[in-house]
Amino acid sequence: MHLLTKSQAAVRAAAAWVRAHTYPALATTVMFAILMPQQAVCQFGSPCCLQLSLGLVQINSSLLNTIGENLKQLNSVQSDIRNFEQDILYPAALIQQTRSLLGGLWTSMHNTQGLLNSPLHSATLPNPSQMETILLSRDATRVPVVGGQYQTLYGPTPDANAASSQDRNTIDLSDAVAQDAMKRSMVYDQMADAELQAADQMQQAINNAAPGTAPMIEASAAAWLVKSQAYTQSALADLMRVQGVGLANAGSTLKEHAAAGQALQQQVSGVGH
Amino acid sequence: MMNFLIVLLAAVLFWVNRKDRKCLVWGASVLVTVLLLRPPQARGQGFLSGVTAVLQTINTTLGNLLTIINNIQNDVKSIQQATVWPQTMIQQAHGYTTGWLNTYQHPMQLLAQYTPTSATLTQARALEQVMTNRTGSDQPQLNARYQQVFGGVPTDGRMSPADQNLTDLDDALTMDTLEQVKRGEQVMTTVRAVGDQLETTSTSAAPGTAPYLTATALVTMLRSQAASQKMLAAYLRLEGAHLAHRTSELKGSIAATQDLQQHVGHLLTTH
Repeated sequence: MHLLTKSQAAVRAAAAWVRAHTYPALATTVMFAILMPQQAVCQFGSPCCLQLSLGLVQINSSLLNTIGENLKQLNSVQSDIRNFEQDILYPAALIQQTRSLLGGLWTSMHNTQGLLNSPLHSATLPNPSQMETILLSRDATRVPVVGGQYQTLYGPTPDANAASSQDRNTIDLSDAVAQDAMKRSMVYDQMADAELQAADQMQQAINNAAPGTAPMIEASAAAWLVKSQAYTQSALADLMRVQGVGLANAGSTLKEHAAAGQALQQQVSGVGH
Repeated sequence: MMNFLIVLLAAVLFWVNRKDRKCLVWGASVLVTVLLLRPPQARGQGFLSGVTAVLQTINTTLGNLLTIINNIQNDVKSIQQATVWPQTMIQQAHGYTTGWLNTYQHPMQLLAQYTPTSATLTQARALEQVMTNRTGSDQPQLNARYQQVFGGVPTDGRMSPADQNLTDLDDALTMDTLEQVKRGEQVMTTVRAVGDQLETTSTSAAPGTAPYLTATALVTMLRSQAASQKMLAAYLRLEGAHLAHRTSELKGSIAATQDLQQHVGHLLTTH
């Protein structure tokens, strides 16, 4: 009883105190309401928190299932492609081995170039020696001097009063074709030298090429080969021309011999009568 | 929780001032105004739709894109491994190459190495041997044996200087051509050996190393073609000299016939 009375007195005193300080308490309450930070929406136990959690689980699941699985498959395919390229298509060790083999082949082929180009000399007399040197020079710029040297060795076309017109034509054409053949042989030698040099450079380029660029050099070599085939055909054509004119020359000689023999026969029989 | 505390505090204030109406009205209007003016609490309604949009992006847009990329990569792999370079076909190609090598390489080597020997006399056999030895570095030996068989240019006056020159150039060009032939054959031997090595290498080549071999084969063909051209040039030179020689003989024959006609005419008119 005594305690109850004491409690009621305390409450009344507190209420009196609050009543006496109503305005400061109200101001404090208002300030408290304004200044206190708003409570976070999604704390533990909030429905928003549950939603967020569920959402994150779903996002994670989607990332793992959709993106992750696809990326895993992509990785597997890319690994297969890489392994196939490294092991089957472009094995690095085999590429290196092939390159070193080709390096050895280049050396042996390079030596043949020196063999083909080492000078030849067989004539013993001065004029033939000079002619031989010019013809085997492998230098097309010396073609103009062939004509003079040719006449020194094989003689000029006979004068009009010394031979028939047919003989003179035969001789002139035969000399021309023979000289052409000699001149063209010098040109072909020089072209062959250029081809050998190009082949040397191409082989070096192949030895240093990547598997992807080797076909580019191959294309270049193929183009050179096509042209080279054309030069060979041209040389064959020249050869056939010389042989054709040679046969025509023999035929013409036979005809002239027949005509000369007939004329002699007529002269002899005319003297007899 | 914080709103509950504020409301509790306000209720205590109202209760203790329940007899002071002015104070009650004033305090209630301030509290209501403050509570109305407070910014609204953040709500969770927008978040759910955001998650749905992200999920849709992941599952639909990104998922579809990745599926397409996967399909493309699978197609690329399939084209590479099943269509362009099937391993079985690679093995088959190796098998073909090995088969050709085993079947033809050795017999072809034997055929290519065959060297005929037909001469019966000692000097002729010696020249035949040096002419067909496929060594392009023994021209002095070739020239010496050539002269033993065909003789040198006469220098004892039985041949006119013009004929001496013709004979000397004929012999020189013939010997040069024979030497060129020997060199050509030596190059041919090297080219054939390179061909054998390329063929052997091709039995274990990968699709990525085959272009090296093809390119080298083409370059070697170019060298071989160049050697053929040099041989053709020598042949052309020889044929040119042959034609020139015959034409020169024709010139001499014309001069001789003219001389003979003059002599016969002179003989017949004087008798």
